[in-house]
Amino acid sequence: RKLFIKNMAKLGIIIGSIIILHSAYSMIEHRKFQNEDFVDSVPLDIIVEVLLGMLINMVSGAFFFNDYMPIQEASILSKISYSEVHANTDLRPLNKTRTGLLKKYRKIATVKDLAKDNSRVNKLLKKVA
Amino acid sequence: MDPKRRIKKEEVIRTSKEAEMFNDALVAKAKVLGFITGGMVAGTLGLEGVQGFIFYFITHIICSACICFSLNFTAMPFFKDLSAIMTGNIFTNLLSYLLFWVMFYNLIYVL
Repeated sequence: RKLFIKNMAKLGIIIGSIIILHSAYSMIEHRKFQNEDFVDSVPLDIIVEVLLGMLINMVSGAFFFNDYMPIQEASILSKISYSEVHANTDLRPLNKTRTGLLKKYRKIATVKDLAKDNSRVNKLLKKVA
Repeated sequence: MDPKRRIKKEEVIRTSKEAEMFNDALVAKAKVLGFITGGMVAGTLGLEGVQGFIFYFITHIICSACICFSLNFTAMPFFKDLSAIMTGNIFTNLLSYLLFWVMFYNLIYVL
């Protein structure tokens, strides 16, 4: 369904830009028939066409860039494994301890989560076991 | 959850900054497209001077309204507040709007 909306939005952007370019060309042709003494205002049909193209383009653009991510941490944490939570070293704070971070994210590591991770902790657990 | 229970300071909805930045970037991309079309329309209609800059603010309002419409006028779970879309990054796309406005005006009315 998302792919369908995105493809329709792409089509809408193309159609909207074609409409605007067509109206610009028709305005150029309209000005060729104008005398220098008498300058006519923009015709109503061109105004309508241009505004229609603008609307189509903007709505299609809004729907094309619609792949937003949920910002709540709970929804993100439910989709990633325990090891991926602290995987990004760039975002890891330097002054916070490991236990503090674990409390903050409130995700308790199970034995299964640790078994997937080939870290030093896992090797220690295996030794203990 | 008991409604009479007081909400403590620690119990705040935590949001991911990566996701917020990603969503803001998507909104900015949609606005760039909107302002480019707005510039083309302003040039085609032959707007001059202050009229063009007033039309810039009109395109900003229409573009923000279209983005809110695509979100079904509800901020969660993608944004904290919808007003950030309306009030954020007002003048960032001014130069791209100006480029297409001047280009189309010159193509139609000067050349």
